[in-house]
Amino acid sequence: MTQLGWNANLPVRTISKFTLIEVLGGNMSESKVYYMDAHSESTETALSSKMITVFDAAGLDEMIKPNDIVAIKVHCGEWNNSAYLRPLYARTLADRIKELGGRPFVCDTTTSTYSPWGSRSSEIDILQTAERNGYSSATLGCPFICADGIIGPSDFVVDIPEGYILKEAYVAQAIAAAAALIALTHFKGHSMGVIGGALKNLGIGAQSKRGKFNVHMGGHPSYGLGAAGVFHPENFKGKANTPDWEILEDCCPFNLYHINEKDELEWDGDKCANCLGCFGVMGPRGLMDIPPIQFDAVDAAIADACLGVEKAVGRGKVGYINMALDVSPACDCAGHADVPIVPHLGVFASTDAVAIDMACVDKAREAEGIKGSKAELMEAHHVGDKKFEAAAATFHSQSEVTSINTGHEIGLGSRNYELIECEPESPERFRFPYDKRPSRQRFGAKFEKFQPFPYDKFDGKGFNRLDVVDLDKVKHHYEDDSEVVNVEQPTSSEN
Amino acid sequence: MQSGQEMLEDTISSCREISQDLASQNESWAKSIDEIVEKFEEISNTFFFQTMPSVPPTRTAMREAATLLEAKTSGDWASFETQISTLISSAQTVIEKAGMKGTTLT
Repeated sequence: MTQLGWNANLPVRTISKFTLIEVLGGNMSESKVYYMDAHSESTETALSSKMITVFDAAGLDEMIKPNDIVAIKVHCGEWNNSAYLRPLYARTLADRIKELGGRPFVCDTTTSTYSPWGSRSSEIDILQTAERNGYSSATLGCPFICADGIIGPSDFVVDIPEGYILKEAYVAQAIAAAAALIALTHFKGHSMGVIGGALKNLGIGAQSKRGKFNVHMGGHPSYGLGAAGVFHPENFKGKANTPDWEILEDCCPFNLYHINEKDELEWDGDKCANCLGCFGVMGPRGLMDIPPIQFDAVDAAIADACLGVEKAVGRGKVGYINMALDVSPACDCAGHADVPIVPHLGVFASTDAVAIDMACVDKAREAEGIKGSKAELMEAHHVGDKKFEAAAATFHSQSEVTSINTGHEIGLGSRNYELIECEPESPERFRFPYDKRPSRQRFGAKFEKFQPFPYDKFDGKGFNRLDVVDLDKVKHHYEDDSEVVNVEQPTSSEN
Repeated sequence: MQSGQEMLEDTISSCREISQDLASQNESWAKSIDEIVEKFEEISNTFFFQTMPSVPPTRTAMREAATLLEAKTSGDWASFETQISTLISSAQTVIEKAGMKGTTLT
């Protein structure tokens, strides 16, 4: 037995294991994705149990060696978001990694200042937001850290000559320094990425802040906002007619927007880092045409940057778990969460970021959209509809497979996959680990000493209650039948 | 899928047809439809109508304008009276949402 009481002698699995050698052997024509659906009716089919089952089935356990520092990359959720993954999953995974001899830490990274009021743009911000959302060393049983430093320049630069757009990536230092990395991803939609899956969890989420500017096309001569955006200062109506004019300057942490002495709005677009902070301020006011092509370029660059992470940590040392639950149309970086667009899709694991995201997209296409969700509002709720393009994307032209196809093109992984459904393991493995004895063994003596049932009262029945009542009366749906049957109340057996 | 901007243009086009000679039937109705056209032209081509979130509210207005046009064409003024109220309400929703208050794009 292990420290936490899990039985190390695991039952024989009903599926064959996909070894790391197969992944690294160069045959990327078809990857394996291990999967369990989202139904749960027992301890071993609890979603946290399923997560561990697919983790082991995919061979991710074999990536962890004794004393390895293992990064678990999560999205801890923006302030007021409520769709992000419950900390339970990261805790369960951290416990499994400890069981394997590794030293896990759970992490997220500082965000770009994509909103003037973001809650994860510095290490202090992210730690406070994470704690509010339930991610802390106390809940996780291991450190929760910000992987790219106090403001976000702490990184490790890696060359990616294979990249489709990017030729270098700036990987958050704590992640690059890890011996192994598990991307524990909440699979959902994303307004820029269209899907927020494994590729984005690392392609954006594992980049330092300047790494994010790189992926977001800051300063890019074709796709950056400075190059592709069209500024419309003529639509600025002057301070006097713009009661909240200050936000036009304050939305940019690089101080690139100014209202000059002539009451004209100016923008130093050449220096734009593409932090995205002005998008929601300038776009709706007609002061900036936000270029859809930038979104497409970012989606391609996400796969490049994900490859950068694999190269920084070591190819074959990165595993992926996608929890396709609460599939909200917007990312967890939004300060809210809308009705999920499809039912829970299930739990996936793979060594291939491209394949695992493709499998989730396919499952979403196979599913019926949820009534009342954005999928239905967009009339993209039918089986076969491309739900993320309709319900998650910002622009009509965006594709839910851009990052996936790019990852396939550059050799990060394969969009062709075999989906392998895993059988549940023994419930014994997933029971409360601190004391696995059944109740009498645990509580028999304690109950004798601290008797919780008052056998000495009410003729041994313990409590003051009526013997019989009319339960049909309170089960009755009165809106179905106005006739109310009055029943005489029985008396108590004892007072 | 039709874009929000295309749907807005269709709505404006339907409303223009509805507006023709409508004053002879009811001046107040004609004034309301003209106001919708005016306001929709004002917000046409703004950022909101380039985005996917513009689709649901604009589609609703577009369909209601088409239904209203049918009622006018068939001379079903009893239905028209009910449906014009529905269109006015939907148009107000479109105008409100076009402001994109609190929008964050990431």
